Amino acid sequence: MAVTSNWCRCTSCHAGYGWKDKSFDFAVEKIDCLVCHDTTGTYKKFPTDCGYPPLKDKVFAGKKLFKAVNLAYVAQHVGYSTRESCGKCHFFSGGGDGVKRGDIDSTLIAPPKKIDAHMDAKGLNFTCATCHTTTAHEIDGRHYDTPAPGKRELALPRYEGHLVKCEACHGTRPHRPEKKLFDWRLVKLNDHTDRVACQTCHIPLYARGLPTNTYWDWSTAGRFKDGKPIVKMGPLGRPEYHTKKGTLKWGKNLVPVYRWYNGTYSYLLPGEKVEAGKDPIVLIKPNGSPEDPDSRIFPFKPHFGKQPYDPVNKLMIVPKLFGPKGSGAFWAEFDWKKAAAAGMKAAGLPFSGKVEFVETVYYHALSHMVAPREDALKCAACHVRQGGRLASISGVYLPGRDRHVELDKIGQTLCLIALLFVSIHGVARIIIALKRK
Amino acid sequence: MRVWWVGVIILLLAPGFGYSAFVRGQNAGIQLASPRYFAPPASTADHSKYEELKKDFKTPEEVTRACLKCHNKAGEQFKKTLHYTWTWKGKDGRLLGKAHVINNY
Repeated sequence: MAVTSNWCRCTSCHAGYGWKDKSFDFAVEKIDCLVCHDTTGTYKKFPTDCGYPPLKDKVFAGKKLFKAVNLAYVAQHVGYSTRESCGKCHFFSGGGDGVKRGDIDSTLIAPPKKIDAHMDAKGLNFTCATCHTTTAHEIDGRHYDTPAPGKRELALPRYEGHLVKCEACHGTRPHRPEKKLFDWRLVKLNDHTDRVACQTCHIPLYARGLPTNTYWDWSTAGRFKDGKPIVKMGPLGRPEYHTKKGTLKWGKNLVPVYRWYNGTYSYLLPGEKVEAGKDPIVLIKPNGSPEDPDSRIFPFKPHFGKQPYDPVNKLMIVPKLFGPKGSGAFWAEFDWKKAAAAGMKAAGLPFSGKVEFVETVYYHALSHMVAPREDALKCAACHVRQGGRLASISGVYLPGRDRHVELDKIGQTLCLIALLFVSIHGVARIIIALKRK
Repeated sequence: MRVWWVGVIILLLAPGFGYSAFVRGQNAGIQLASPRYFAPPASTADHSKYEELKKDFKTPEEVTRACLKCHNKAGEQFKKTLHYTWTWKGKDGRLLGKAHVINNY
């Protein structure tokens, strides 16, 4: 839920060593070069060691063995980042393979074309950095309230710049005929790009590789059976209930939700008052509107949750989950009040002593796992009267979905009148022609 | 001889040039050291040959120090990036980034 107070667990994915509390010194020698530049696949950070790799063989959670890292061997085999090195953290965000993102999981280590047309291991074989162009360790991408760099313009081969946006390579009129010189259908398709993002049609479903988490109810966490923690597996091979985590829902091959998006996000920060109402509290949401020329209709994975909230101070609670017994950590003592008190103290925020659970939502933009062209959405996915994918999108006239009943009636009437007069005229001419004979 | 059709052809072709492939991006003209498109260029160094790396490293920080001996700008570059700071200064002055936001996972 938050890094604060849970450092050593969360910072096991920090590209540094030893971030164990607020006082971490961001010195250059604490940088972890190897986690990104390892090419041997043997460098792994231990999940609870604040970013350190295991220097002795170590077992995580009583099950998983982490072998001691041979630092000299890894250091002697450094190179460019690979899908595997980025994936070591990014595939496993949310605490497991594919849990958080829905468009990034370990199938991208060597994906088939069906999963990712660009990373296709037997085809284009892109790495993450092919699109996430990097200059002096600054990696391109959307950064919180700042859109990904680069303009929506066509870049030529050899042109060095920011390639992270689809348009950087494909241009703003991306559909080109393969065999013919001209194809009128593509002209209409290209007319979509000012309002519809590439991702909308070309990422038709998400979680196409592995299941992703769709709902996480923390309020039920902490149940035991005969004094032992419970892990109940669901049909997708992911837990439906986990004593540490609560009730979880998973999905595969899911239909995204669509929103206007200008490439920036808004965040609700801990310490900012928020009223709990009927609708879920939006923690992280995309910005955009149909009036904004930089906004496009874009696909998202919504992630719903139920998490602790302070009803007196009206604050989202930063709970301490990870830590030893006596620290108040939920995963050691299974008491939300203690966890909230310890977490809010670490965050420097007030806590009333009351914990309620509120529904929340977090939107993830879907930009990865671009499907091959034959799997892109067809016209009727959106251009239908009812039940189309863009049924809830407002601010744009969508032919096929939208109509103006009165205008339609006027048009139909005019057509009928025209037909009537044409018929009269035609009949008259036939009669006159027959008379002339 | 009448050449009116030349004008017609030019008029027909003109809109086509409007969106053809001229580089107009913010980085037009900038050439960086390593042009790479679909694959990174082959490395020009074999790191297993460096004496600095043939050591019995006791801590990972020693490796970082060895890296920074040659890559002497990398530390200062990386230090400022989101991968290290987990902090992003928002346009409204609020501190964003993984270390500051809250989610429901």
